[in-house]
Amino acid sequence: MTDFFNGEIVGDHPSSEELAAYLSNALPVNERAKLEAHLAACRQCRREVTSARRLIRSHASPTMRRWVVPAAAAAAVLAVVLLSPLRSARLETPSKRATEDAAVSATMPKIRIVSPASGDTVKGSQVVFVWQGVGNASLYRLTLTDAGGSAVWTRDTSDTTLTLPASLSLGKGQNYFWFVDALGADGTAVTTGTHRFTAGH
Amino acid sequence: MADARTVILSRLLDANDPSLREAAWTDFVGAYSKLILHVARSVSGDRDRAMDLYAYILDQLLCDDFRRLRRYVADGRSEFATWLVVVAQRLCRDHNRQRYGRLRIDGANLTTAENEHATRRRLVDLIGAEVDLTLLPDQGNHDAEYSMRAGEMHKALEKELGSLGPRERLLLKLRFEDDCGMGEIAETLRLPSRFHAQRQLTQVLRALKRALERRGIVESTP
Repeated sequence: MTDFFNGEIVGDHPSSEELAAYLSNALPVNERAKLEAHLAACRQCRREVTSARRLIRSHASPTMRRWVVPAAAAAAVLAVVLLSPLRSARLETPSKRATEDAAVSATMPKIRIVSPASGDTVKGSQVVFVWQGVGNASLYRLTLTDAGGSAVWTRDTSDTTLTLPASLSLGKGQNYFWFVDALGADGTAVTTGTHRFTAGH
Repeated sequence: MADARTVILSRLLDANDPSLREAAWTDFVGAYSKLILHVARSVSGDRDRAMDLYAYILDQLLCDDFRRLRRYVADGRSEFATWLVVVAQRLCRDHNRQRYGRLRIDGANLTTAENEHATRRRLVDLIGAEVDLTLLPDQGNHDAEYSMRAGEMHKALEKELGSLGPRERLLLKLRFEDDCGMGEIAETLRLPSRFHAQRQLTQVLRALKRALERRGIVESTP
């Protein structure tokens, strides 16, 4: 068993047929589990799966949203526990790109959120969402969900700020998630990624 | 579930007359050219290089009496377009390796210090802005005690991560090593939505946190 951070499986890669069956959701449960165990340890195959999925999706619907690929982690990336109050959102920190595989190239820079920041507790009765603009975005779509994933509020805007309507009151002490998608005039989109805040007392 | 063989594919593989086969191949190329070119362009943004890759892929699909295509038919589990993307990607990679040599990307390329620093960066990323990055200790000035504690912490985390199931490990790898978005992770793991993926991730991290606390690791710094 290779170690989590550095190990890479270099043999026993899945065949093209196995990988395609996995992507088509056509593998029986036991074979799927075996392949996922391989993927968990094999960066090459994992990237192959991700890349193939993106290609299939982008080919099927050329105007659909394409994921902006953040810069890939350097080798030996550690998945680490939160040793402080749990944060579910990813911080905006740079990391190095380290692969020769195909990647979807960004036509727009990544969106950065301003507020509420990840892990914030929002006080007061109104929540104001603010994010940095992206040069050629034609529209921004904000989605707010509860902890269960159900959408609470969605709104489109050409501005970079939205205020939650007073008629929508959030549960005190409850966690909420929000993200913004910027839609470009060329049909591509970038996202802030999902960020969490707590409705204050 | 898998497609039945496409009509075009059937005609191609079943044709025993050269002129019929040629006509079927023309139809096949017409039907799947766009997809193959899409893959080639994704590998190389350079137009000429993409065309080289496109031609190589077609050549490889054709060779040995359509050996690769026949393998798809014999397997028959997946959607043909999906299979074609996987095969085309792999052929592009093979062609690049022939041309440029194999690119080694593994831990051996980094020094121990670089690995450790990458690890520390990730630790700090996830703990959050509470840790001032400028206060990260200089990697060259570690005393023996620091190094020992860091090593113990690393080992403890390694052990706990090793006890996770394959799907949980895959979730963490996709998220933290491959920088996949939650939507992509949900798609890969066949979860209903990105929020389900987010919730699973939160649960895994919470469990890891508790496991580390049981081992006496309660702070992020050694």
